[in-house]
Amino acid sequence: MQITVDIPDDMARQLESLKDELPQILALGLLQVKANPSTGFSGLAEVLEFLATLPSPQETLALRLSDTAQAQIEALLEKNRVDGLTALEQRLWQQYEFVEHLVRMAKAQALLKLQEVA
Amino acid sequence: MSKTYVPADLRRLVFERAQDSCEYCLIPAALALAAHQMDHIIAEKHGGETVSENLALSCALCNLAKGSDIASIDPETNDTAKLYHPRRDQWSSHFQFEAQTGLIQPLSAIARATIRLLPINRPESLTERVILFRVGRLVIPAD
Ligand SMILES: [Zn+2]
Repeated sequence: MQITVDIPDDMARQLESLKDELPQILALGLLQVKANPSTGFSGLAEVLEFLATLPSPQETLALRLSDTAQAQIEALLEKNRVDGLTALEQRLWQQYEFVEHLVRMAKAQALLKLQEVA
Repeated sequence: MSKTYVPADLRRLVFERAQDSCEYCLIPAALALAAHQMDHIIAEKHGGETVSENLALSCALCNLAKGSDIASIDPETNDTAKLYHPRRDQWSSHFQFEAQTGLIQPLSAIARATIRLLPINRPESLTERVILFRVGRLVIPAD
Protein backbone atom coordinates (compact mmCIF):
# COMPACT_ATOMS: atom_id res chain seq x y z
CA MET A 1 0.00 0.00 0.00
CA GLN A 2 1.21 3.52 -0.74
CA ILE A 3 0.31 6.53 1.36
CA THR A 4 1.12 10.23 1.05
CA VAL A 5 1.30 12.38 4.17
CA ASP A 6 2.21 16.01 4.86
CA ILE A 7 4.76 16.33 7.65
CA PRO A 8 6.63 19.33 9.15
CA ASP A 9 10.02 20.18 7.62
CA ASP A 10 12.03 19.41 10.75
CA MET A 11 10.47 15.95 10.97
CA ALA A 12 11.23 15.41 7.28
CA ARG A 13 14.90 16.24 7.93
CA GLN A 14 15.04 13.70 10.78
CA LEU A 15 13.38 11.04 8.64
CA GLU A 16 15.82 11.58 5.77
CA SER A 17 18.41 9.20 7.26
CA LEU A 18 15.77 6.68 8.38
CA LYS A 19 13.97 6.29 5.04
CA ASP A 20 14.44 2.50 4.89
CA GLU A 21 13.10 2.06 8.39
CA LEU A 22 9.87 3.97 7.84
CA PRO A 23 7.58 0.92 7.79
CA GLN A 24 9.08 -0.25 11.08
CA ILE A 25 8.81 3.18 12.64
CA LEU A 26 5.15 3.32 11.64
CA ALA A 27 4.53 -0.14 13.07
CA LEU A 28 6.11 0.92 16.37
CA GLY A 29 4.05 4.11 16.39
CA LEU A 30 0.91 2.05 15.87
CA LEU A 31 1.80 -0.08 18.88
CA GLN A 32 2.15 3.05 20.99
CA VAL A 33 -1.15 4.43 19.77
CA LYS A 34 -2.96 1.21 20.50
CA ALA A 35 -1.11 1.07 23.84
CA ASN A 36 -1.92 -2.57 24.17
CA PRO A 37 0.13 -4.04 27.01
CA SER A 38 0.42 -7.32 25.15
CA THR A 39 2.22 -5.73 22.20
CA GLY A 40 4.20 -2.74 23.54
CA PHE A 41 6.67 -3.06 26.43
CA SER A 42 4.16 -2.57 29.20
CA GLY A 43 6.84 -2.03 31.86
CA LEU A 44 7.99 1.34 30.53
CA ALA A 45 5.05 3.45 31.67
CA GLU A 46 4.76 1.77 35.07
CA VAL A 47 8.46 2.30 35.85
CA LEU A 48 8.47 5.93 34.75
CA GLU A 49 5.30 6.61 36.75
CA PHE A 50 6.92 5.01 39.78
CA LEU A 51 10.12 7.07 39.45
CA ALA A 52 8.02 10.22 39.08
CA THR A 53 6.73 9.72 42.62
CA LEU A 54 10.32 10.32 43.87
CA PRO A 55 10.48 7.04 45.81
CA SER A 56 12.65 6.58 48.90
CA PRO A 57 15.80 4.42 48.58
CA GLN A 58 13.94 1.54 50.24
CA GLU A 59 11.03 1.85 47.81
CA THR A 60 13.42 2.06 44.86
CA LEU A 61 15.18 -1.14 45.93
CA ALA A 62 11.84 -2.92 46.20
CA LEU A 63 10.84 -2.07 42.63
CA ARG A 64 10.03 -5.11 40.47
CA LEU A 65 8.25 -5.53 37.16
CA SER A 66 4.52 -6.18 37.29
CA ASP A 67 3.52 -9.76 36.51
CA THR A 68 2.29 -8.68 33.08
CA ALA A 69 5.57 -7.01 32.13
CA GLN A 70 7.61 -9.88 33.59
CA ALA A 71 5.59 -12.36 31.51
CA GLN A 72 6.25 -10.25 28.43
CA ILE A 73 10.01 -10.36 29.10
CA GLU A 74 9.96 -14.13 29.56
CA ALA A 75 7.95 -14.59 26.37
CA LEU A 76 10.56 -12.57 24.45
CA LEU A 77 13.41 -14.59 26.00
CA GLU A 78 11.75 -17.84 24.97
CA LYS A 79 10.91 -16.58 21.49
CA ASN A 80 14.55 -15.49 21.10
CA ARG A 81 15.82 -18.96 22.01
CA VAL A 82 13.38 -20.81 19.80
CA ASP A 83 13.16 -18.82 16.59
CA GLY A 84 14.75 -15.44 17.15
CA LEU A 85 13.17 -12.00 17.52
CA THR A 86 11.61 -10.01 14.69
CA ALA A 87 12.91 -6.48 14.11
CA LEU A 88 9.91 -5.15 16.00
CA GLU A 89 10.50 -7.44 18.97
CA GLN A 90 14.14 -6.38 19.00
CA ARG A 91 13.01 -2.76 19.31
CA LEU A 92 10.76 -3.74 22.20
CA TRP A 93 13.68 -5.46 23.86
CA GLN A 94 15.86 -2.36 23.41
CA GLN A 95 13.15 -0.34 25.09
CA TYR A 96 13.15 -2.77 28.00
CA GLU A 97 16.97 -2.77 28.13
CA PHE A 98 16.95 1.00 28.51
CA VAL A 99 14.45 0.79 31.40
CA GLU A 100 16.38 -2.08 33.01
CA HIS A 101 19.60 -0.04 33.16
CA LEU A 102 17.71 3.04 34.34
CA VAL A 103 16.32 1.06 37.27
CA ARG A 104 19.66 -0.65 38.03
CA MET A 105 21.27 2.78 38.28
CA ALA A 106 18.45 4.07 40.49
CA LYS A 107 18.88 1.05 42.76
CA ALA A 108 22.67 1.41 42.84
CA GLN A 109 22.25 5.07 43.84
CA ALA A 110 19.73 4.00 46.48
CA LEU A 111 22.30 1.57 47.94
CA LEU A 112 24.90 4.36 48.03
CA LYS A 113 22.45 6.67 49.82
CA LEU A 114 21.56 4.06 52.39
CA GLN A 115 25.23 3.45 53.07
CA GLU A 116 25.94 7.16 53.51
CA VAL A 117 23.16 7.39 56.06
CA ALA A 118 24.31 4.32 57.98
CA MET B 1 6.87 -22.62 22.77
CA SER B 2 6.23 -23.72 26.35
CA LYS B 3 8.91 -22.78 28.82
CA THR B 4 10.59 -25.64 30.67
CA TYR B 5 9.47 -25.85 34.24
CA VAL B 6 12.25 -25.70 36.82
CA PRO B 7 11.10 -27.16 40.18
CA ALA B 8 11.17 -24.76 43.14
CA ASP B 9 13.91 -26.62 45.05
CA LEU B 10 16.17 -26.62 41.99
CA ARG B 11 15.53 -22.89 41.45
CA ARG B 12 16.45 -22.27 45.08
CA LEU B 13 19.69 -24.21 44.67
CA VAL B 14 20.61 -22.20 41.55
CA PHE B 15 19.95 -18.88 43.30
CA GLU B 16 21.90 -19.89 46.42
CA ARG B 17 24.84 -21.32 44.50
CA ALA B 18 25.13 -18.08 42.51
CA GLN B 19 24.70 -15.97 45.65
CA ASP B 20 21.71 -14.35 43.94
CA SER B 21 23.91 -12.82 41.22
CA CYS B 22 24.08 -13.22 37.44
CA GLU B 23 26.87 -15.72 36.84
CA TYR B 24 27.93 -13.86 33.68
CA CYS B 25 27.84 -10.11 34.45
CA LEU B 26 27.71 -10.43 38.28
CA ILE B 27 24.69 -8.11 38.68
CA PRO B 28 22.73 -9.18 41.81
CA ALA B 29 19.04 -10.04 41.46
CA ALA B 30 18.18 -7.33 43.98
CA LEU B 31 19.52 -4.68 41.60
CA ALA B 32 17.61 -5.87 38.55
CA LEU B 33 14.16 -4.83 37.38
CA ALA B 34 13.21 -8.05 35.57
CA ALA B 35 13.66 -11.29 37.50
CA HIS B 36 16.88 -13.27 37.02
CA GLN B 37 16.49 -16.35 34.82
CA MET B 38 17.30 -20.04 34.98
CA ASP B 39 19.87 -20.22 32.18
CA HIS B 40 20.36 -23.56 30.46
CA ILE B 41 24.14 -23.41 29.97
CA ILE B 42 23.78 -25.85 27.08
CA ALA B 43 20.46 -24.82 25.56
CA GLU B 44 17.65 -27.33 25.46
CA LYS B 45 17.66 -27.26 21.68
CA HIS B 46 21.22 -28.64 21.81
CA GLY B 47 20.15 -31.37 24.22
CA GLY B 48 20.91 -29.50 27.45
CA GLU B 49 18.91 -30.85 30.37
CA THR B 50 17.11 -29.16 33.23
CA VAL B 51 19.54 -30.38 35.88
CA SER B 52 21.67 -28.58 38.44
CA GLU B 53 24.87 -29.16 36.43
CA ASN B 54 23.40 -27.44 33.36
CA LEU B 55 21.79 -24.46 35.08
CA ALA B 56 23.22 -21.06 35.85
CA LEU B 57 21.65 -17.90 37.22
CA SER B 58 21.51 -15.18 34.60
CA CYS B 59 20.07 -11.69 34.42
CA ALA B 60 17.49 -11.14 31.66
CA LEU B 61 19.96 -9.11 29.58
CA CYS B 62 22.70 -11.78 29.57
CA ASN B 63 20.04 -14.46 29.03
CA LEU B 64 18.71 -12.78 25.90
CA ALA B 65 22.15 -12.04 24.43
CA LYS B 66 23.24 -15.65 25.00
CA GLY B 67 20.07 -17.05 23.45
CA SER B 68 20.66 -20.69 22.63
CA ASP B 69 24.35 -20.17 21.74
CA ILE B 70 27.05 -22.39 23.21
CA ALA B 71 30.03 -20.91 21.34
CA SER B 72 31.06 -17.64 19.73
CA ILE B 73 34.02 -15.88 18.14
CA ASP B 74 37.12 -14.87 20.09
CA PRO B 75 37.56 -11.27 18.87
CA GLU B 76 41.34 -11.51 19.30
CA THR B 77 41.98 -14.55 17.09
CA ASN B 78 38.70 -14.75 15.13
CA ASP B 79 38.59 -18.44 16.06
CA THR B 80 35.53 -20.13 17.47
CA ALA B 81 35.58 -20.40 21.25
CA LYS B 82 33.19 -22.09 23.65
CA LEU B 83 31.23 -19.81 25.95
CA TYR B 84 32.04 -19.68 29.65
CA HIS B 85 30.44 -22.66 31.42
CA PRO B 86 29.76 -21.59 35.02
CA ARG B 87 29.68 -25.21 36.25
CA ARG B 88 32.82 -26.51 34.51
CA ASP B 89 35.01 -23.42 34.15
CA GLN B 90 36.62 -21.68 37.09
CA TRP B 91 35.63 -17.99 37.06
CA SER B 92 39.01 -16.79 38.36
CA SER B 93 40.93 -18.65 35.65
CA HIS B 94 38.96 -16.80 32.97
CA PHE B 95 38.03 -13.41 34.36
CA GLN B 96 39.42 -10.67 36.54
CA PHE B 97 37.41 -7.83 38.03
CA GLU B 98 38.81 -4.29 37.93
CA ALA B 99 37.35 -2.33 40.82
CA GLN B 100 38.44 1.08 39.47
CA THR B 101 36.64 0.77 36.12
CA GLY B 102 34.04 -1.93 36.73
CA LEU B 103 35.52 -3.87 33.80
CA ILE B 104 35.59 -7.66 33.81
CA GLN B 105 38.87 -8.42 32.06
CA PRO B 106 39.22 -11.63 30.03
CA LEU B 107 42.07 -14.04 30.73
CA SER B 108 41.23 -16.59 28.01
CA ALA B 109 39.62 -17.11 24.61
CA ILE B 110 36.49 -18.43 26.36
CA ALA B 111 36.29 -15.22 28.36
CA ARG B 112 36.88 -12.95 25.36
CA ALA B 113 34.14 -14.67 23.37
CA THR B 114 31.70 -14.58 26.30
CA ILE B 115 32.39 -10.95 27.21
CA ARG B 116 31.87 -9.88 23.60
CA LEU B 117 28.69 -11.88 22.99
CA LEU B 118 26.72 -11.03 26.13
CA PRO B 119 28.10 -8.12 26.26
CA ILE B 120 29.37 -8.17 29.82
CA ASN B 121 31.22 -4.85 29.67
CA ARG B 122 28.53 -2.56 28.30
CA PRO B 123 29.14 0.99 29.61
CA GLU B 124 26.02 1.00 31.83
CA SER B 125 27.11 -2.22 33.53
CA LEU B 126 30.53 -0.77 34.37
CA THR B 127 29.00 2.06 36.39
CA GLU B 128 26.61 -0.35 38.08
CA ARG B 129 29.47 -2.67 39.12
CA VAL B 130 31.69 0.19 40.36
CA ILE B 131 28.92 1.35 42.71
CA LEU B 132 28.02 -2.20 43.78
CA PHE B 133 31.66 -2.89 44.60
CA ARG B 134 31.87 0.33 46.62
CA VAL B 135 28.89 -0.63 48.76
CA GLY B 136 30.11 -4.20 49.17
CA ARG B 137 27.28 -5.78 47.17
CA LEU B 138 29.27 -7.23 44.26
CA VAL B 139 30.01 -10.91 44.65
CA ILE B 140 33.26 -11.83 42.86
CA PRO B 141 33.17 -15.61 42.36
CA ALA B 142 36.00 -17.18 44.36
CA ASP B 143 36.47 -20.74 43.17
ZN1 LIG C 1 23.97 -10.67 33.48
